[in-house]
Amino acid sequence: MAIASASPSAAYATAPAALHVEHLSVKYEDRLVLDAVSFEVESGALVGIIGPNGAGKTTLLKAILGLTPASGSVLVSGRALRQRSRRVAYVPQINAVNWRFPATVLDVVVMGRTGVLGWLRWPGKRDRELAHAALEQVHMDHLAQRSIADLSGGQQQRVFLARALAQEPDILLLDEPISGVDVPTQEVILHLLRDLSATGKTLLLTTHHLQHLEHHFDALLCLNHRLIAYGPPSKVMTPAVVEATFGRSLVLSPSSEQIILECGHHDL
Amino acid sequence: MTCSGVWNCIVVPLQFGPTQRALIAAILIGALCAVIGAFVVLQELSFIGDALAHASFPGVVIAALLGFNIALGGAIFGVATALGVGWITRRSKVSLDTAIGVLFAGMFALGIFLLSLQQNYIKELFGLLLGDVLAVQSGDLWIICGVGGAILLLVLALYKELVLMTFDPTAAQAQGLPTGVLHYLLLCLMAVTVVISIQSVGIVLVVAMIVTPAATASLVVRRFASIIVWGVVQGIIAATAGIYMSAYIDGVPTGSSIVLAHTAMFLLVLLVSPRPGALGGLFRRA
Ligand SMILES: Nc1ncnc2c1ncn2[C@@H]1O[C@H](COP(=O)(O)OP(=O)(O)O)[C@@H](O)[C@H]1O
Ligand SMILES: [Mg+2]
Repeated sequence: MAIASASPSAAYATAPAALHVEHLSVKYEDRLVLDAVSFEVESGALVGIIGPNGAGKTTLLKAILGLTPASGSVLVSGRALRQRSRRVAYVPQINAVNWRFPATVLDVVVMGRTGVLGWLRWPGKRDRELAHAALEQVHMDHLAQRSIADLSGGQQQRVFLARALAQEPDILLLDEPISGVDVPTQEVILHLLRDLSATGKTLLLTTHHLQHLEHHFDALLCLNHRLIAYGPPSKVMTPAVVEATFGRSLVLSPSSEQIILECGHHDL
Repeated sequence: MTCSGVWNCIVVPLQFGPTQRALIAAILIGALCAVIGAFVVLQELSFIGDALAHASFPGVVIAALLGFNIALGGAIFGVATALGVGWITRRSKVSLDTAIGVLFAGMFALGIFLLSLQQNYIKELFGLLLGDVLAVQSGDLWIICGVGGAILLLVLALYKELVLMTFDPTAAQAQGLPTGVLHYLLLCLMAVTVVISIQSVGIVLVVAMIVTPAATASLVVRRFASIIVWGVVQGIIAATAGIYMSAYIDGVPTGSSIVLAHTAMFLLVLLVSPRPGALGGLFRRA
């Protein structure tokens, strides 16, 4: 089976791709949630994984990390992932954390060092420096001593991004980073991610928002249990692909198209 | 017991060996319970902790009848029941809290049944259900020190892992932590804490020793470490207040007076603290 790729030549380039996913399948009980998904991402790319609710977007990220039993292979720069590897960082959906847990912004970001440090070692000066540097990258260092619970949704999302950066990863996997925040905040976050990809980080994020896709991403991966299409946004976002990904109702109903467009213009 | 003058009132109870030992035991247990409680409250394991205490009852009864260490007997039954709960939920579609409800109430009933086969069991039932820290022997103190110290060392050694798992289990897993193992370890630490506390505060009230200090702290503080510090201080205050209360008011079981002190502090803080995190400035890093 051919491997879909952002640029067709990438599959044959000499350096191994930042992320190589082949025939990744996940079954929950007897239901096939991911069906032989294969793709490659080049280093420094910003990739949007889009699909309706329940399409398997979160499952795909978890399968790449090895958090959910899956068949197929995942290679990072040509090698399999080890336990406690710093190379791939995960930013969970914001409501997956325990919001009753009291912590400052800095506490949360230092937690990004837990896996890398290994057993029986306490975070030290260097870890706190890395945490402050990561907070600066997301323009949040001035709030380092604030309670994480007192921040807005967009600020919290940036703190979790900083926590992932504190791990010093090559690849970041972000689950719904622009959900549940207003449109200006979505723009802020997407610009941050764009800046990060310019520094060479490879980023994959899931979303079910459609109004930013054209300008912000290097590639889009349309997922509905199987990979529908993968490539540059302008090539991927054809009516046929959108219909195959999101279903007939979305494409055929002019009102929902209009809603999407209105959202796109309203706050810009 | 009677006394005159503040200093005299403080010193009089401490002239008795049992009261001295009781105070030390209650303080150690109060501090230990508060540390474990910080994790238990934030991971919402309070129900399991209470259930574990009740499930250990038949073990406590058998040990008491045969003259063995009651903490050991309780631990065996508590852990066996916890494993039984896991077995039931894997084998059937019974949900976790239902399995806990069924098994743990059943074990408690078994304990009462075994005890009622004895003559004059009512007095002993009271002793086991409500605890009596004044009956602590120096051998018991060493067990509390040894086991409690080991639990605290483990928590300290795995602190950053336990913290991440409590705050964000998905990220913990993504960073490669064995979250399943850590979860079971925490349950075991809680079970052991519960059974070594039973002798002092009794089966019915032990959950309050674990839950109330952390619950009080989380009304106020803004950092997890502060919950632990606050809880330990509150545990020490409640233990001291409770021991003095039962020294001066005849017949009040220590378990009841210690837990009442905890509850009073919780209510006080609830009334005083205008909103969650309001007093947090006290605990902010300089
Ligand atoms: N742990 C799980 N056990 C069983 N089914 C699951 C589990 N996680 C997700 N699913 C199912 O797999 C499908 C894909 O879920 P998910 O990856 O969360 O989709 P998305 O993130 O695209 O909304 C859904 O139908 C969901 O119900
Ligand atoms: Mg999802």
